[in-house]
Amino acid sequence: MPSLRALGLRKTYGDRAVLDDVSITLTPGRVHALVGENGAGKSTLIRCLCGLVAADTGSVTVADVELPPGDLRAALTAGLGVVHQHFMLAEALTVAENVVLGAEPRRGPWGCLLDRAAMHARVRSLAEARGLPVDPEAIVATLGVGERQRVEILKVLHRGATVVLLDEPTAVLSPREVSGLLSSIRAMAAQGAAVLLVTHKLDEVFAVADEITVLRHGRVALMVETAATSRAAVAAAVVGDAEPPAAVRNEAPAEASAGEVLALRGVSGGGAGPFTLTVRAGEVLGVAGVEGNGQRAMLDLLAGLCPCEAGSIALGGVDITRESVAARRARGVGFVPEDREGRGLFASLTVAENLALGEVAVATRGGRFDGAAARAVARAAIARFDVRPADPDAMLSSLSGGNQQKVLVARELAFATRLLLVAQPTRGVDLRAMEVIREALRGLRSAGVAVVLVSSELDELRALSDRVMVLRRGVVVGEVPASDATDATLGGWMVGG
Amino acid sequence: MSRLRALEVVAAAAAVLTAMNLSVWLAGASPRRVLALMLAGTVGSSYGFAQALAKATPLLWTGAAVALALRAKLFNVGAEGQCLAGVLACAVVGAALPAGAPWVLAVPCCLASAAAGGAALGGLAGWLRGRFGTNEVLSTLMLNGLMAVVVTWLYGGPLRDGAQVHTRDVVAGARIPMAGAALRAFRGSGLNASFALGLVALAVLGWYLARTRGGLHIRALGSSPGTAAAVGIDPARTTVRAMALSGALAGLAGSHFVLGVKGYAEHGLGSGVGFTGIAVALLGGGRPWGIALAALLFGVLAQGALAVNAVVPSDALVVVQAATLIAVAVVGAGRAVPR
Repeated sequence: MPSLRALGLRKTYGDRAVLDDVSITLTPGRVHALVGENGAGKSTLIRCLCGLVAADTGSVTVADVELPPGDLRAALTAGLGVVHQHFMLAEALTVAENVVLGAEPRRGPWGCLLDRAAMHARVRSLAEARGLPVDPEAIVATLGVGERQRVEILKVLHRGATVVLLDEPTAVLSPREVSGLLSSIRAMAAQGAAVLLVTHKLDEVFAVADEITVLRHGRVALMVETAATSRAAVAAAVVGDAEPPAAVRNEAPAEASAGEVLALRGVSGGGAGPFTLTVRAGEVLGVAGVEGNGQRAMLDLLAGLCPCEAGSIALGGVDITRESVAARRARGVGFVPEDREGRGLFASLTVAENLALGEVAVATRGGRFDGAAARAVARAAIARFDVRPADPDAMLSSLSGGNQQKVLVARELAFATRLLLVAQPTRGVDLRAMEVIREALRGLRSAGVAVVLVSSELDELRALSDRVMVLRRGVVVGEVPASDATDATLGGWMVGG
Repeated sequence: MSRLRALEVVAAAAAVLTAMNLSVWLAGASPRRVLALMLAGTVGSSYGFAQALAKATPLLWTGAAVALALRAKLFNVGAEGQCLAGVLACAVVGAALPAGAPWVLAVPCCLASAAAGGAALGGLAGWLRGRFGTNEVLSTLMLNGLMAVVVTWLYGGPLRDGAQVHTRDVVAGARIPMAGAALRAFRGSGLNASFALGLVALAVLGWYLARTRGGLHIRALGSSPGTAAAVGIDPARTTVRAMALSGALAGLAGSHFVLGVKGYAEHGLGSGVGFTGIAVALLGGGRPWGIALAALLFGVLAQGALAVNAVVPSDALVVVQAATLIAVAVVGAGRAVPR
């Protein structure tokens, strides 16, 4: 009898289906791996299963009881336990206090006293029985990431969860901690729990899972027993059939503009590197990799947002290693960060102000902010990228995510006269805008700007790049010309298979 | 405004009136009589009106100060201490000027020192925040306490003017015009040119935030510090600037006390206006005209409290102030930054 059965889950945001008719079954004593690219719908599926969001259609049944959609409390009561990627622990409390919170052992008249002895004993025995070593009396704030995660799992087990959902638990762990976690996952299953493990890494899938479900574009692309499949088959299902390369291909960079724009020598910092590479004028360097493998640190190092711990960065032959963000921007470096809200745009300012804040010279003359000039710049950008609503004075927060992205790209493209650093330029934008943005990037390339493009979409990398390199654990593990960048090659480097 | 919002506003106004009547009634007086007294003592007479404006004057400055910092998402609770620093600097410089200094030199000189005094204190908190990440609420609060002690010691000791427990008078040229000198009806009130300067400062503040690069950077920092860093705005430097400007505005409240009303600085002068300025800034919703209106409201309430003092303790109107603030916080959800 299955512990959890989800049938025909569908979830749309706007007119985009994030989950499309997804069914999944978790069985007691078995570990089920959920695999897929970023944006394939894994997180949404977890959220629908545990009631954090309500699916549009479909049902979730736990132990033969159908859960009311979008009701987290009901899901927890029914025996579901979730370990989220971001820990939810009270830092100032001890491990044991965190674990028993909400179901504390009590003693004394009317149970008004906390039975600390029983609490510690209970948590200690639970930790030992489940193979999750951690000191019950330690303060959580003093613990490392791996230990914190064990506390989260103990919390779930203490509540008596029979179905455990783990959302990318290994993403934050060191290799040694990963192997510890994997064995405790096996132990959980051996004691009768049904486990769903979300991960990007095929090594882990084949080390621990009994069954595998692959999501692609919100649909189940593959659902098999681990024993009956191969690494290559799963990898192929994750990235999909190799689609034909986009109609527009890059031409070779013009000879005249083939000079080196960017040169990195042994650059490291922010937990990534060392990087030694060059990008020429009119060249697009594509960067692939599973999210969290050093892409962000690499762009931050180049933009000047992360201090360079070793090595040197040269732009057009000038050493800019120690230069500030502002100084680099003055040299014509544009940056489209992945984190649009936190680092790309100002939600409570207008579209015109957002565009002006790259310090487009015309809008800020001396100390004055020339609103009329800023609006004129904004109108041009709005027309070029078809931003809606077409109002320079609209508050940025009133725009949809896709339109915000257009504003961000417009600002940074205007800025990048020598080098553009860009991450996920078309994430969350519609097809037409996607083409406009890609076309603009191509225009930049033919204008002789060097581009470093980070994307999780291999098709996009192939369509825009001249070369594609792959990052894993913060270092470059491979590089090929875009024409030879097959899914198999890149995928193999990405997951280390 | 939606119907629900309109209902909320009506309910809030009703709650304020109820609080007022209840507090007056509990104090053993007739609410109607008290209200009549209060109106007669403020908007009902030219002297009372001028006094209400005089009470509002320092609040224009401190309200503007707190509002400016809030646009950078910095909570400056130190307008209190920054105002004291402004009073001190203004009085010291004003008294040190040569006796015959003409007003075209003396007044700007004193205003600049008031601003500099406040800016130094505010800027220090901003620097601590930018350099070490020290919470500005904590640092400005501590600096308030420090300033209160320092000025008490100075006024009673080193800066004492002989037998008087206050500083020496500022030179004649540094005094700014009193409204009573120009208008008979305002004679005897504390209203002076600092009120007009405060209104101008609010207009300039609005212009600075909307129309200058520096103002845009301050708003950008308040909107998203991460993005500000990514587009090359130095967050630490912008924090110092926002806090220094905020402190300068609070320090300029000293012009009302030293150059206008008193002509010297003494213990207790300017105390309380910094904290009320927080309420004024929040009530004013961060907009210049909103701050002006809020300052006027608090001025009327403060003067009204004096007018009704014979019938009910003036503390009854403190209850009304509190009720107003809570009502506005509920209706406006405590919005500090205009949308």
